[in-house]
Amino acid sequence: MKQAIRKLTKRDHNKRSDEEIVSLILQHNDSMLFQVIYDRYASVVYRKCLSFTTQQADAEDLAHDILLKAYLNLGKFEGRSRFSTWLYSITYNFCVDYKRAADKDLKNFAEYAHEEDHGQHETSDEELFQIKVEKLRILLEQIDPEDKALLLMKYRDELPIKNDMMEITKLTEGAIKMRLKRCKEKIVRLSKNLNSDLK
Amino acid sequence: MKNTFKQLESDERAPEGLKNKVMSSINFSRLIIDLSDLFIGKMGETLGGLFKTEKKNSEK
Repeated sequence: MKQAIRKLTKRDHNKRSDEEIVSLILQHNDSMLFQVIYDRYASVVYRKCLSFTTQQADAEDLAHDILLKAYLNLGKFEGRSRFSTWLYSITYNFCVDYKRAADKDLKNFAEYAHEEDHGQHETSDEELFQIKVEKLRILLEQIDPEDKALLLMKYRDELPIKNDMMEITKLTEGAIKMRLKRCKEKIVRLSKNLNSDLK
Repeated sequence: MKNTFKQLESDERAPEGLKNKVMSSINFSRLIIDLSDLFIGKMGETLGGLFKTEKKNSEK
């Protein structure tokens, strides 16, 4: 039966949705079908991991652990969101936890946590986009990993706040918007400080 | 205005050997789970059977 399913799905893989593939894996207890999921998402997951570590070996290990965790938890995928969003959630949480554990220098995070919100001026996206990419990479390493992840989700991956980001972070829409507002302000402020440090 | 964040995107592909590693880990995990289910399941049945036998003996 499994062989028959595999032969059928080998031709139809590209036609089946992620959710259909997951359902088949669970129905027939066929782990080999997970290769379809792997082929679709491994590179995406790997690239997300590379955002949180510069070491390719570490990114590979992270991606391995994330994909293994995804397989072992397929039974918990309820289909309330898209499979890709569910997988992104696992990836995001894994990478943030990894970064927090790996980054021994908590000084910047502590300063950020206690910093008061001075501005009534709301930082615009345009101000954020004025920061050059090389400097942006440095600055993203100086903020809390969860905030970095939020910025990447919003501005690099262009995920909608409603549904996707809310599902991934388990935060309310208001909480996400507030955190994004503070992150943008922080990044732009750090950018100006970096400019003056370099002079 | 150009979104600088888009320049952070990488076009890297997952390393060649990763697929084998992931599928091997999945197969190994399944083996452990199946063995655990077998052991615990059989142990439960065995213990249950012991009590049944004892009860019959005490009734004699």
